[in-house]
Amino acid sequence: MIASIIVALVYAFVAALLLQGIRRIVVAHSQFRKGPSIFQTFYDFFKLMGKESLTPNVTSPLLFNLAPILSVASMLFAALVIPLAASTSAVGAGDLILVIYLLAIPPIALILGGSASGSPYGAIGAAREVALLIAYETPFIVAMVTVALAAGSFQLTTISATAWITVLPLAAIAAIWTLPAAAAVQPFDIAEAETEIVSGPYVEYSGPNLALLQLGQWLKTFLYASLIATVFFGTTIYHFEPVINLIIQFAIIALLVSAFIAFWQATTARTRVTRVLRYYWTIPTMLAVADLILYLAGVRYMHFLFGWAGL
Amino acid sequence: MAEVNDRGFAKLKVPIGPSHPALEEPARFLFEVEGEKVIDVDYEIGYNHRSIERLCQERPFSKIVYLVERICGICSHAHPLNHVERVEDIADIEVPERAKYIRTIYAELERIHSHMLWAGIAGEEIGYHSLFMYTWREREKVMDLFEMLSGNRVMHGCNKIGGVKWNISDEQARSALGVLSYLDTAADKITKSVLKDSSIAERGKGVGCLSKEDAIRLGAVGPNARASGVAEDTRVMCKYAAYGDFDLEPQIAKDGDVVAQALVRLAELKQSIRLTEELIANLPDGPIQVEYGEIPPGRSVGRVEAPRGELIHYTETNGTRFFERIKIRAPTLANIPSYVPKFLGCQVADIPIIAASIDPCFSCSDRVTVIKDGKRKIVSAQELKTGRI
Repeated sequence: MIASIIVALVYAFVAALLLQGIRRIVVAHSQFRKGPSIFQTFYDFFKLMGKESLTPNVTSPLLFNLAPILSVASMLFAALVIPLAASTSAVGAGDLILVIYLLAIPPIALILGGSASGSPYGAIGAAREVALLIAYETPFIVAMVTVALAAGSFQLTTISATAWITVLPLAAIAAIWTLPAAAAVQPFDIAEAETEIVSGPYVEYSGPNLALLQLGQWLKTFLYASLIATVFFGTTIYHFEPVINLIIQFAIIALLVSAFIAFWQATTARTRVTRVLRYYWTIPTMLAVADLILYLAGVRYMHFLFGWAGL
Repeated sequence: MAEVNDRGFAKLKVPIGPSHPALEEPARFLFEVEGEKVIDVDYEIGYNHRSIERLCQERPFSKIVYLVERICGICSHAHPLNHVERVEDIADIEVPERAKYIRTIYAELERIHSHMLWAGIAGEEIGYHSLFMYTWREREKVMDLFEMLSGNRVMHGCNKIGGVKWNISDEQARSALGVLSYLDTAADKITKSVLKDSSIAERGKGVGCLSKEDAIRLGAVGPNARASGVAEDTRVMCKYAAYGDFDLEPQIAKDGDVVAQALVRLAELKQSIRLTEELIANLPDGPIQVEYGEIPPGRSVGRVEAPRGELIHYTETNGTRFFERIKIRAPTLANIPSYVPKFLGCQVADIPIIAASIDPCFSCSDRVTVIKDGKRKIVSAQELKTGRI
């Protein structure tokens, strides 16, 4: 048990940082650049861990220093709950609801830290993060609820027995659509926006605090993508050796991230905060809700179209 | 922390600068924002004063061309061009035709690289890094061309009183034409992406609008004014260097927003590429410089279209080896007042792109500000001359 917990945590840590390296290389290549080493995120992380953490005078020190720890702790817990190919979920019934809550904690930590930092940039960044969180969580949660209803369970191990993309493709599109916002890269890096508000909530953080706050964000990107991979692609494909299973799962996540996060990042400008709600509450939410209604109405359109699909 | 107004919005004072990722050079803007909306703005320059005008009076003649070339790293041809034209005007020096053409070629190449630089920076300001990488990669071709022509990428050292220093050989002219036709396709691609890209339209349409009346009232110059529909181009009006030999139309747009600014600059980019090709094709034969004697006392004022707009030099000589007075009005100084109508009512997210939209060059236009005990002091010319402030 202890061994599998350690394996899951180490895998989540390495995979999350490696994923950022892959994303940066994909973006660099689409901009005619060579890009940094794939291990650059590791170097940055360990460099920051060895530095001094400053707490500015105007902050409320408790919240300011608690936010990074909260962010990472919640994500490490989520790494144990989401079935990461090799290990099974640490929690039983209803763990999907738990994961959805846990995935909202790093943005909330960012909002807390940004508001507590006493900087106007942090305050604006926190306000923007709130808008972003409300915007992309809506279609994501509707899509997840649709899947849970269809599976008849909120337990991830039960849900992931089916590859739901073959049954509820509209919900899958809606969920994948929220990936760039969850990863907080262009066009949805509005909370950081270094040319506008000098990286917003991060602006007063330094040293280990900054490293942990960023690690929370990186882990969240990885776990968010792995939750989508688990729910919509299922776990039935992982019937090999544990190590090979992990590699396959990481490859799927890396593909998701390259195609939907890095590609968007390279081809769009940063959007405005006023546009984010309109953006996510229209097409993605409509897709997810349409799938929910169709499912509740008993329309099995994939079955009708292809005959081979699940139900 | 922040006071709350009657509509429930927290009022925040957001400082941008003197050191901020959105600004390439130090300048300070203090915004008062309500939520995401800007309701007031104040600006301060004076962080980068280098005392160029004073230095111009303390160095002998021969060194001033080098000095004015170093006012700006991007308009490194427009400043010396204007300066040598002023001295030639005072001393009645007749510059050979070929030298005039070579000066114009450099001036147009400078406009090409400056407008490409602007397009890249504008992309960077709205978070569009790919546009930045793409335009700057293509801009590198112009810098290489400069290196081939003059031996230097930035400080070309081309101008001298009475002509130019570097001749253009037939071989150089041929490879320059090759680079220009390549740049023509690159300019088309950039224009297409600016026109078609929905995320650029989202960030640029209706952002930072400057009406034609405001542009005239606040004395905007260059592409900033032309984007608001003011059809003024110093190249057309003053016909300095070899511009009198060619027909040029000022490129204008109506809206005055960021997209209009981009379209004016991209149209000028295309126009400059065509003009440079014509200049190279019609390059007259002959000497590239003439000898000149003593510079008599006199004064001259003149205008040159730098990439950022109208650049004014006033030069006064007194018959010695030193200038009596050199006064430089860089285009950015004329464009700064147009920031106010652009900024008022905009979103915080639009601040960087609006700040970049006039293509500011704060160092070139910096003025000295004396602040003692928190109060600004006005200094007379006499006090400045004696240095007792």
